[in-house]
Amino acid sequence: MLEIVDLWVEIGGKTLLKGVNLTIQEGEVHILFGPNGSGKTTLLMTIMGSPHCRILKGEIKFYGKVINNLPIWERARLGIGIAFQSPPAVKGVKLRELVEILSKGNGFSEELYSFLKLEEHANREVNRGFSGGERKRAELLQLFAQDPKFIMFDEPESGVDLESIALVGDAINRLLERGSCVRRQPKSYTKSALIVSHTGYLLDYVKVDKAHVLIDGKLVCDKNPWDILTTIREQGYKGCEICKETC
Amino acid sequence: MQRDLLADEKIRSFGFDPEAKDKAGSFALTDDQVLLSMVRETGLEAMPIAEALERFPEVREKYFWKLVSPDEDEVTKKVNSAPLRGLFARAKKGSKVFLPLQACYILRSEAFSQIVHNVIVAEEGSEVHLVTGCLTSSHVSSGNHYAVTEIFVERGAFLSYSMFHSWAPQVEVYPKSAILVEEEGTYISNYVTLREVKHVKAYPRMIVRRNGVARSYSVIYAPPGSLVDIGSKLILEGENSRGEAISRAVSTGGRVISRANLEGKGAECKGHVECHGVLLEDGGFISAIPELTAFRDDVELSHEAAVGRLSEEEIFYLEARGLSEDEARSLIVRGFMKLEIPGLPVELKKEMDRLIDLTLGGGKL
Ligand SMILES: Nc1ncnc2c1ncn2[C@@H]1O[C@H](COP(=O)(O)OP(=O)(O)OP(=O)(O)O)[C@@H](O)[C@H]1O
Ligand SMILES: [Mg+2]
Repeated sequence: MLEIVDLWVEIGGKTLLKGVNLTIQEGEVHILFGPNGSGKTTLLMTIMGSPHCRILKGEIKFYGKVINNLPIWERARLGIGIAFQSPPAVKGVKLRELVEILSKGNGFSEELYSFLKLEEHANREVNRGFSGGERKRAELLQLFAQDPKFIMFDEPESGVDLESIALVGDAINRLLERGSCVRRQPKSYTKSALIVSHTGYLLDYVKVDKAHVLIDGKLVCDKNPWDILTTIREQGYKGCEICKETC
Repeated sequence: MQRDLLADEKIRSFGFDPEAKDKAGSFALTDDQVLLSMVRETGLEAMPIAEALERFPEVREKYFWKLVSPDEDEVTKKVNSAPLRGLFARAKKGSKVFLPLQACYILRSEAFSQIVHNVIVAEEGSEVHLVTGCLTSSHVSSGNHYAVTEIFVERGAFLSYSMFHSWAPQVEVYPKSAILVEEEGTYISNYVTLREVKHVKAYPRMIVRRNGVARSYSVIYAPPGSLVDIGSKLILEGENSRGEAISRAVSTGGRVISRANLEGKGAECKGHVECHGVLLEDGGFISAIPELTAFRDDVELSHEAAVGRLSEEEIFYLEARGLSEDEARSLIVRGFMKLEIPGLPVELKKEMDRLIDLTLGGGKL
């Protein structure tokens, strides 16, 4: 579904991604760890097509098609979606209004407002004055309306209280059409995701297929997410660097 | 012929409803002819100003040339020396008129100078909503409109005054308005200009007495060739008076000067100015000129101004959801222009939004 080959990206004159390789198959969920400032958001923004991220080298393919030079909205219409780490307020545009535009002909269910505890936010301007957790939930709501095939979640659980993390996990499963309790063959899933996380809390709720660590502009490891998390917890990201050499 | 004129597509599209189904009354002036003057609601009067002066002695005693002086400037001198035309409207004491009273000023002959003097009175405890459309009929491209408007919001009254303008490229408009908001009164001004116009210069003066409120909203869309210079001066004279001047300007090449001048004179009065402008294209300018003057230590006046381009971050955000750049810009601009105006009747708000959609829908956006 998504294939990134030797991707080099600079932002504001600084080279942040130095040869990223990543393949995400249909139905797979990947998690991405990495220290602050390592370029995780940059990678997601490059995939989405942010004008700030300048591709120096390499290719991003979606369903086999190189999308390096595709306008942002065309990528979105191909089925790429993103939950922003820090979404901006959109002045003058109500959340409900935006959801209606995005969900045209999508079979969006009104029940999602209450599911995401956003009933009272529907008639407010998008993200304006929303708390940290409310913004994260509003991102999920918009993704339901948009219904992409491949979703990038940039720290969907950061700033979210422990109780609500379960809700975020549920929402991600619903977005990816993976019932959290229903056991299905992984093959039957068609939606994919790349989740950026520092905590790994979501691993309790969302079944993740592969994990990566972004260090020095490169992805190291594609081990089992729990093993990576344990390494990071016990030895810090240094542990990953050592591991990089050995693996 | 009169029917033909009212059926003129431009006039209809501008929201003037000749049948006046959902209106409390109608008044229309074409060039210097009163075309229509009627009221439906009791407790409301609307008639040509000349008739009011003849019928009611208090109009001259209390209202006529009382807020504006005839020799104040070129506009007032012109109005004072011209034959008397214009609207007198009055909501009687305590009457609440929820349907809007519509007034329409039409320039019908090429290069005509329309000169009017309006007096609007909301008597004690009354409520009235006035909506005026100022426009040229389809074939007219030049002319002038000079107006003196004196507005009295008496004790505890509520008056909203919405002005929807649709002039033509060579039209010049010089309204001179003054408003007195007496104790506990509320005045809302809602000024919307969306089409090309050679020059509009409006700077209403509002005097607000104790516990009174004056709120002035302007929505300006300036295509190339337009020079829109509007703003308001709010004199917060009374104790605990409130004032607000909010403007949203969009330039696609036109020139906009958005002024707001607040004077805090009364004890614990409060005022706020908000001037926001976006330039969608080069060729013009938007100049925000807020002025605040406090005369006491317990006065609170503030302002917020921002002019420039649309936020790239917001556009990117919407594009990432699948909106094209044009769709994203259009959505943001619409939202920007569709001000929330507390106290304005829903149908007027709808009408305003419809006109904004019409404006934005027709152009590049
Ligand atoms: N527009 C910009 N101009 C200059 N530097 C930038 C710009 N945007 C990002 N950066 C820098 O690029 C680096 C990578 O940022 P990025 O947001 O990708 O990190 P991250 O891995 O997502 O970090 P975090 O975990 O804190 O979210 C940071 O040092 C950041 O300051
Ligand atoms: Mg980040």
